[in-house]
Amino acid sequence: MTAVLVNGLRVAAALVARPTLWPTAVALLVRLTPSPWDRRGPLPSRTYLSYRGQAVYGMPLSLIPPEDVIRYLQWCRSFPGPVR
Amino acid sequence: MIERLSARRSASTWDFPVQVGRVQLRNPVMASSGTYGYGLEYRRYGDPRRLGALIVKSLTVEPRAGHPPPRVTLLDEPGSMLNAVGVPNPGVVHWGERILPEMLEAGAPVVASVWGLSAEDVVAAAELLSPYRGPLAWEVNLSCPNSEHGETPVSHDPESAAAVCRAIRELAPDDVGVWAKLSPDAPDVPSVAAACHAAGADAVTVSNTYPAAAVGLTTATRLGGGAGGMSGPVLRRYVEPLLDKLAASESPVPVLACGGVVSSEIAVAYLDRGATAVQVGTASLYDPRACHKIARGVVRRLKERA
Ligand SMILES: Cc1cc2nc3c(=O)[nH]c(=O)nc-3n(C[C@H](O)[C@H](O)[C@H](O)COP(=O)(O)O)c2cc1C
Repeated sequence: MTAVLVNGLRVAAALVARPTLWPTAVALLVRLTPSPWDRRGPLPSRTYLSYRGQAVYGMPLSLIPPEDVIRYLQWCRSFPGPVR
Repeated sequence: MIERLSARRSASTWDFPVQVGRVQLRNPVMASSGTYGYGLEYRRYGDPRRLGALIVKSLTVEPRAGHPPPRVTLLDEPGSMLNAVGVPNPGVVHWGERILPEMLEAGAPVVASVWGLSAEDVVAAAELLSPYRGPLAWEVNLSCPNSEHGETPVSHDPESAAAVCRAIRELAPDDVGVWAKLSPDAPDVPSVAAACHAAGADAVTVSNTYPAAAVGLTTATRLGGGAGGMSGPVLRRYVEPLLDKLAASESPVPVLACGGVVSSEIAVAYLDRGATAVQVGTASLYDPRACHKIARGVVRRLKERA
């Protein structure tokens, strides 16, 4: 639990220091929000998040180091999107 | 009344049936293996019934933990990545007993994918798969070493690829398709495709990731599993010429185009190059709704033309 908290704080600090990535982070949150009429509420799917962490990083998403989170956001920013 | 209306609207939005060998799909857009889990993980972002097919993470005889992290390096080429995930999966039997029933209950158009550390291993995985009913097709991931010819992947050698397809066609129920997934770096992809088709594969998937080590000037060059495979838009430069070659070959094989499909525009361009259907991979790691957005866009574009 402490490891998750410490990592969360480090990720938050890394994000706060990079205002140019804030719009990308917000866009990511929007993409991860299930449809408004989803019975289980608006928070991102935990099943999906834990699958993403394990499948792609080999660890829970909450433990992914700040440099990987930042790199992922930079990757998202340059993604040839939006997907449609 | 409302239910009937929404069912009719849903039918018009998602239906553009295509025939892939012996199976008919609702539309020509599927989730590619390894990028959509077992579908259930993505359920809150889209109804799996709306996709043409959902190809599960490749399954092996025994469960596999996969490679140590880091498993991906995000490339500087927009939207592209290099992965060395190492095929983590629960094994065919666990999947068939525990996960497949849940997928079928959700109405997912399931396609199983099998892989192994050698040609014999892939066939053994298919043998374990044969008692389980429900998948529309079995996709055979041929990007594995061929034990007889050292480290040469099965997907590089028409004879070995055909032998695996023949053995798997014999194991698969008659109404289940067999799709051979090829590697883009094989010296002669059309010959491998033709050999697989002659050996009973209903279609070929072109393609898997392109083998590589980490590249790029600003990208960290670390991957727990060593070398990996490139995916995303970077693959289009390999897939496009392959589609052209396959379309021009004397006895064309139904092709499922895969590699860099990040929009319905690209998907339709692949269909125009002769593909029967397309698979969406890396885009789902950017947007969990990517497959659905692309499927809806493809159906709309194809209907506008029709
Ligand atoms: C993280 C990751 C895991 C993958 N796992 C598998 C797999 O288990 N079996 C397989 O046949 N292909 C696997 N692939 C390859 C994809 O199915 C697809 O062929 C490839 O990524 C190219 O498509 P894309 O450019 O749309 O991603 C994987 C790809 C990625 C990025």
